[in-house]
Amino acid sequence: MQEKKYLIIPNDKDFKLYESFNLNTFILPLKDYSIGYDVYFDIDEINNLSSNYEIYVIMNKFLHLNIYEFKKIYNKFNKNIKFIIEDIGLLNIIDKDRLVLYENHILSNYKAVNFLYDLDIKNVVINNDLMIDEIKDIKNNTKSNLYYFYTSKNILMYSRRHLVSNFNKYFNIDSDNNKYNIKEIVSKKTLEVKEENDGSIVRYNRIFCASKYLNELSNLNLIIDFTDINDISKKIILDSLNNENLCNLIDSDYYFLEHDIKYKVGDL
Amino acid sequence: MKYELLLPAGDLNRLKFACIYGADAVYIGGYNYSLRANANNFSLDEIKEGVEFAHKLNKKVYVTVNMIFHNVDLENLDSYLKELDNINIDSFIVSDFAVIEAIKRLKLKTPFFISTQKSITNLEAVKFYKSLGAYRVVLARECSREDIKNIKENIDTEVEVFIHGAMCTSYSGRCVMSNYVTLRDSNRGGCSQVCRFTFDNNTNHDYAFSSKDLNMIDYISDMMDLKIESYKIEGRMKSLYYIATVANAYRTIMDKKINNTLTNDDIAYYKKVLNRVSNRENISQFYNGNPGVDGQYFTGREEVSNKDFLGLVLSYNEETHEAVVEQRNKFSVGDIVEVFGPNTVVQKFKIEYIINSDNENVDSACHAQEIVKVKIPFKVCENDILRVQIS
Repeated sequence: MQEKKYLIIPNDKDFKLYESFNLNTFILPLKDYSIGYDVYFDIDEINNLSSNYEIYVIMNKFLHLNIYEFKKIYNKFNKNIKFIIEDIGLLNIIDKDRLVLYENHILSNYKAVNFLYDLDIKNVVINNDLMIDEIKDIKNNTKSNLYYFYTSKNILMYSRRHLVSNFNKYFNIDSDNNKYNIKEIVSKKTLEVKEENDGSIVRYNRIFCASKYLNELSNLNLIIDFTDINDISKKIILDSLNNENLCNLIDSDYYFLEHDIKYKVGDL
Repeated sequence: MKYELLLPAGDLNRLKFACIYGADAVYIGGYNYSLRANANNFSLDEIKEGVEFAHKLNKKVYVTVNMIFHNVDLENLDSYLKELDNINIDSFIVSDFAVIEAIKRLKLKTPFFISTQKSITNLEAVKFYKSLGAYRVVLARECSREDIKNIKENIDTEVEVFIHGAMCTSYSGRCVMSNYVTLRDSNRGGCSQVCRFTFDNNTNHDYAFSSKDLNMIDYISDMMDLKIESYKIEGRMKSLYYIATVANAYRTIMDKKINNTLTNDDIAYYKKVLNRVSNRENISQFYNGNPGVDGQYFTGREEVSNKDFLGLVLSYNEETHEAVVEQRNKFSVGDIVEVFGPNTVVQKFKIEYIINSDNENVDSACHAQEIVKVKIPFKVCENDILRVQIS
């Protein structure tokens, strides 16, 4: 089997552990510019790590006026560092060859990918709610360098609201906890709400894992996000990185890889 | 400068009412490719009829092609865009880069602007979309006054902001809870509003996190001072009465602002009107910063049905002062009611008698959509609306 390239979003700062599995490419959430992760990194930490590892910085917040704060610090990053960005305004600030565009869940077809390619935006994260055939079609119809969340508790929602502390305030609940596990009453699906300074995110509590199609996903940059993944599952994932059966070894869900999703009442 | 009041329309009838009740422009969706798959939406023939109707009144029609496309959805996109272009719609509202690519490749004459689905929050993002050819952007509903001000002062791209209606809990477009919980694709028009569901979070209370609605009536004057071009009402699935009432309220407020006649009493009155027509609580949300606990509901759906819409005037006889009215909610002899319309300022009158379709005097009009005659002591017009007394 072809050796795959994995990019790791760590859930701790123990890089020796990942290194022991020959993993040396990391996506580091930038403090104050990203949301929903277990660990964050400041510029000095990122620059230090970039001398030993291939480093991407992820910024998944919408930045509002804060984009100008980033503009002030951009040149402080080592030149070998790349940026995975959600806020499209950053396209005017970050050099195109250092940039991966990540519009969470909304880059879902090859024509959009090719349009961005023609704008010199050649590195993009594609939606991972797609069917495997859709992903293959995108890959087969574009020259872009594609990134893909291969194993992760997917972020399902990003809000500017304080969805934990507002609830606590409303019901006079005295708690410093910034998370709730919430179970939808009819479907019994469980989600995880996490609040930070500038908003909240909701993750699915089951791990999306595309390992069943590992071979078909060749030539994609495969992202493994360990955020919110417990130590047991993390160990299994690390032990079984190139194993197509990984999805069966952990509590995973890859429904959308195999099922079309309806969107009109008439289609239901 | 021109300030545009932009209303939604879920079907042809509501498009017409939005136009005659004060909208400068309306936005609609076709059967395909828009984000309200559950709305009635428009066939191409209906879009054509709507455009012709609007253009006769010097109004504009924008068509949403703002879903997120999967490969399979691209198949008929070109022909759909060309047909809309031939119909002479005034703008496409787009989100997916594939649609922008198609509009440019096909060299369509119809311009496009960027949907709120792209969650634009800063000037740099506006510059990017301007560079792609967009003449306008719809800003994220999470933008503050300072965000908007910075954009408006530094670029000539038109800005459209939401001023009234429902809000997502999330940044628009950045939510697929519907996909995961109900298997319906939120970004292709199937959103099942999971944020309005209730959840168990292992406390003594159900967990809910839906947003209250947006209502910017207190800040319209300030927003107009910022020289924002377009003021958008949410709600392609809202009723004809809602459309007419909200259009009339904001039209009046905006015109009075332009004419320097806007008073605090006007704001107070129309706030009351808007609060009654909305079935959910509303606030100004992010305009002055994060709304905190006041911006949300915590106990699930808290919606009330509105029974203010009493009837629609079908005709008026100036000699007999008798109006033919299509009933919408019950009203009775002796009730004090209000009437308003595109050219009828709000006035009150007492129902002196009601004559039903069998020419009988009755105490009440209590059958849905029955045709009755009532005396109205001042001139009213076709399509004026009777509602309960608010002032």
